[in-house]
Amino acid sequence: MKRIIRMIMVMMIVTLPVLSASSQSAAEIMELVASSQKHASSAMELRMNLIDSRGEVRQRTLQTLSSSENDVTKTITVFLSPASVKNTRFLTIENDSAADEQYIYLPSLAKVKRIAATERSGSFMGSDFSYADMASTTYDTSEATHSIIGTDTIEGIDCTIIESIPNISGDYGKTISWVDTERSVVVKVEFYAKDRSSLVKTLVCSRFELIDGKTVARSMVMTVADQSHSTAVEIMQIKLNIPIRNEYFTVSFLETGRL
Amino acid sequence: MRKHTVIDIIVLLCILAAAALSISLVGSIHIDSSTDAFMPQQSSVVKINNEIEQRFGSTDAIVIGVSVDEGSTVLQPQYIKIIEALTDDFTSSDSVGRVVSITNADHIIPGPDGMEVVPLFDNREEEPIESLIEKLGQWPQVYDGNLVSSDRSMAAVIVQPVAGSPADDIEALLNHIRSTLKAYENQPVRISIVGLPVVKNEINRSLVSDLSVLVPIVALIIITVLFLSFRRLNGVIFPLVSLAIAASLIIGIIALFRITFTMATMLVPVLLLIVGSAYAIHLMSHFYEEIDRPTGLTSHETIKLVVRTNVLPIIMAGTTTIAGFVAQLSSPLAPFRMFGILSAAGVVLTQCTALILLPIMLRLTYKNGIKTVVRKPIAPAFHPLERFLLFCQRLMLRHRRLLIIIVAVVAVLLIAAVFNIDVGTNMLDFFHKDSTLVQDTTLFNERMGGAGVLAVMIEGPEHADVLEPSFLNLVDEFSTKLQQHEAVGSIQTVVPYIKRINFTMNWDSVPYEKRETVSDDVSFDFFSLDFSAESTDTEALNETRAAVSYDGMYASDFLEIPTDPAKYGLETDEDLKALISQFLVMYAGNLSMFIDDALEPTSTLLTIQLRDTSDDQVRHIVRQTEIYWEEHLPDSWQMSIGGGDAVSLALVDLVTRSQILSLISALAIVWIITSLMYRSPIAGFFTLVPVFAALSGVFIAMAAFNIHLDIITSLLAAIAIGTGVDYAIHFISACKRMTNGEATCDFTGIYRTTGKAISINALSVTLGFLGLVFSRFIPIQQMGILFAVSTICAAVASLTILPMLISIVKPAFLGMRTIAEKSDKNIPKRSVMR
Repeated sequence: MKRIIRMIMVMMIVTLPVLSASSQSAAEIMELVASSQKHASSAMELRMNLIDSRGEVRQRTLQTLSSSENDVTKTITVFLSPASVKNTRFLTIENDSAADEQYIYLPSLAKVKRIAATERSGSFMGSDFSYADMASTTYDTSEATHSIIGTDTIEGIDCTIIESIPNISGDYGKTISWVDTERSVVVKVEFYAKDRSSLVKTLVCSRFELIDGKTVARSMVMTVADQSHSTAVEIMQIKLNIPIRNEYFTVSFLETGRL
Repeated sequence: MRKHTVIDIIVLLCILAAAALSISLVGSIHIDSSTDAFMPQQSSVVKINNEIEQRFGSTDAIVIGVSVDEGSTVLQPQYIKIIEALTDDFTSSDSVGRVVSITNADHIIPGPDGMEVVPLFDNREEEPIESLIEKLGQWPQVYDGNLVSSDRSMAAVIVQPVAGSPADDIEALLNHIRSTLKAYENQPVRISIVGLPVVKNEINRSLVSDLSVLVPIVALIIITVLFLSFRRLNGVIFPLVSLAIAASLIIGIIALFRITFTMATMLVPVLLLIVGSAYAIHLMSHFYEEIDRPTGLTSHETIKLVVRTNVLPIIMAGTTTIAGFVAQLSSPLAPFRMFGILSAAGVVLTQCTALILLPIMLRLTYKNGIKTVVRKPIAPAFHPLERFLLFCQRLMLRHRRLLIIIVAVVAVLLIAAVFNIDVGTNMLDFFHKDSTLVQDTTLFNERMGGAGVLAVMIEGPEHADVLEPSFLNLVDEFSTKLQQHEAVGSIQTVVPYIKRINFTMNWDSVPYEKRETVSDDVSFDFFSLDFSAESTDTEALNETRAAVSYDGMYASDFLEIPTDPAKYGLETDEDLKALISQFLVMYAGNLSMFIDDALEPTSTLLTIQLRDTSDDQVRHIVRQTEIYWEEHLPDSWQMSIGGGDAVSLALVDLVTRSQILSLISALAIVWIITSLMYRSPIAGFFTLVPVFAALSGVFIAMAAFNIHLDIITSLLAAIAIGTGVDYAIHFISACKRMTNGEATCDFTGIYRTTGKAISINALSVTLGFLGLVFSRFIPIQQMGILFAVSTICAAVASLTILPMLISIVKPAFLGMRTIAEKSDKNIPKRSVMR
């Protein structure tokens, strides 16, 4: 679950940089995008619509609380729908200097259990977002070679097109990002296969809003290359940099749902 | 230079230019020799397969087997290192969706406080191999037969290509895998590569490499026969040039119209060689017959006479042959229909080259007159061809009873054969038993779960219905029952995962204990909270959890599908279904090959691995599967079967239906056309005599040599009809010609000209195609044998049964009455020729 939260942060929240992008190198722009994703705390409600090849839509709704302090990020996630998993709760504690911890509360079992999962691959909750997607958009200068390959305008937003080729090929051989040159917001990302020529899927971000001093894309759609299915994520509610009591990030809260 | 010589040269140059242009396009031809090209995309099994691929990913995996001798184990550091290296290498390859082996698979264990997903093999452990062996033993339902053999002598690296990858990408991936495996050739371990994509690719490679070697051999044999028969260089060159040009033009048409070169269309050039050589040989035979006797005609007059004499039989024979191929349009298989169209077009081209190009070449060659070459004659009695024709003529006129008995015996054999022909397109049977592919697959089938795949998709009416405990129990029961089938190696379903997660989450529970559900009534909404409240220094983990050994008192009670709500402190089956959904939250990202949604799947996939993919076994398993689920699934649920072997089975059924349909249509069309041509329905039946002989030969040979009726051999019937009807029309036309409007028929003259042409054609084609038995690819060998049998039967029947029937019946359409007896008296004692 730690990655879920990280992914959400990476994909949706960007800060408004002070510097203008026009005179920056590709590496500097991507560095700004990456650093802008950091924040002290957040509360979010997300609605995720999974649309399959038959046009059938499956919806998931969840809320998250997240707090970062002293290299420790604590996140609690609660599933609101579908009904079968309602009130299933995750607690994730990421510690840069120690092993991560994950706990789950299953309402049908009425127990908190500790989970140790490698989460090497696979999609997030059956969506078109994988954990690798998150990594691809947050390549820093040591992880990939970035280069500006052009400019474009998407929905009236001037974008710098940046090609990122990872130093170590993971799930993708290349990504091309359309970065809003004014706000350093990622507007669109194309993910390519290891051959660096076959498009795998495309992410499009929209409905940018300034919330608590940060630019947020409230809507994201990830579509696979053959258009057979897609996943639309919407931020229903969001609060950033708010004071959150530590009691929320306890096994006790996970088990009882109460402070 | 005379005017018509100039015209001849211009026409010849134009034809040669067109042929050269056609040949230049050969590189652009798209070859797809797999059986996939045969399945109609609208067929239900293809649709099901596509649906399965979309929901669960590709079921056609490339499997690399790493094995050691029986009694030994691959679970040793040096072998594990190889498996790990292969897994890592293929994971980063293009077109690869997923790679799984014992070195990268996840393992679920019950941890001190819950579930742990750990690497099955972890080098960081103190004794990684011992740990691996222990973990494999903990979960045999998932690992044995799938990732490692139960005797531990073989392990598999399963490479799942990206669903829907084009054939070129799969070929590139296979080439990469093969080149990678070469580095391990000197290792003390056997590495095999199996799976449907491997078989398909091997067919492609074998066909192309074999044809490139065999075609020159076959051509050489035909050239030799032509030379020995005509004993003239031009007698070899002219028919060959004529055939080569027709074949080039048809290849040009295939390239120009971007027609895929399938296993069916590959037969078209072969067919042209047969039919086209017949036309050319008839013309050449007649030409040499004319110039070898003093007629007083000039070369141009002789060529004109030969063309005039043969134009009608060639057009008639061509028309009926075309009609026979057009009957392929009734086939439900697109490549068969394309085969019919191309063959028909090819026959037209060979007719044109025989009637236009050959005379041009003859006119240009002999424009200054024909010089009679004095050749050392072979004593007629010792000329094998003459002796054969004499034998046929004697058999036809003097040993009719014997001939009738032979026909009766053949008829009985045919009936027996038809019921004994095996139907099937098991692509592995295309390869020799001692080929690497067959040996690899046999080894894999013996030790592992099997290389064949049937995929059973079951869909419930509502989301998460496939997580109902009662349904999961059915899946478990079905797997246990079907596992008893001798051809089934293993069955993979979501059930072992649910059982194991249940176990890891409940090992410390007490059955039927009331559980406190403190937060059941909690309705979460973080946004209703007061975020401004003061934060305290509460530790995140403020509870000390008791360390309990996970082999708890009731642990084994929970290694099951939860079916009793009370046992889990719940009230209803719906509660249990929700519990299973919640289990999936933790692990669903790794179960996409079994369920189509991470939380509330609508459908689930059961993958059946087959050790024996023969049609009978696959059909039996499919039937058992259908019966089980028809009995147990409610009406609102759906069960469908896909997978590579289900597609192959459907193809077999289509091929059989196609064969029957096209055979009946072709026979009917040929009968109608020949009846119209000779204005007699009796004539139609007469022309079918060699056709039936050729078909009898093909079917009896198939039964005798255990040749399956498959996608290649099913087309031989159409070719047999083409050959048979050609010989019949040439012979009947000669009969009609030789009656000269009188009630007489000079059989001796017919044997000397048409009989000789039929014999030479049959001999060259038969010997040529017998050269194919040297192929290392079984379908090509079988094709050679069956072509030869078909041609011999058609030729012999044309020279024996057909004239016998003509002489007995004295059909009115030939204007005969008493000629047979008269001819009998005129049979020469030693020779029928010259």
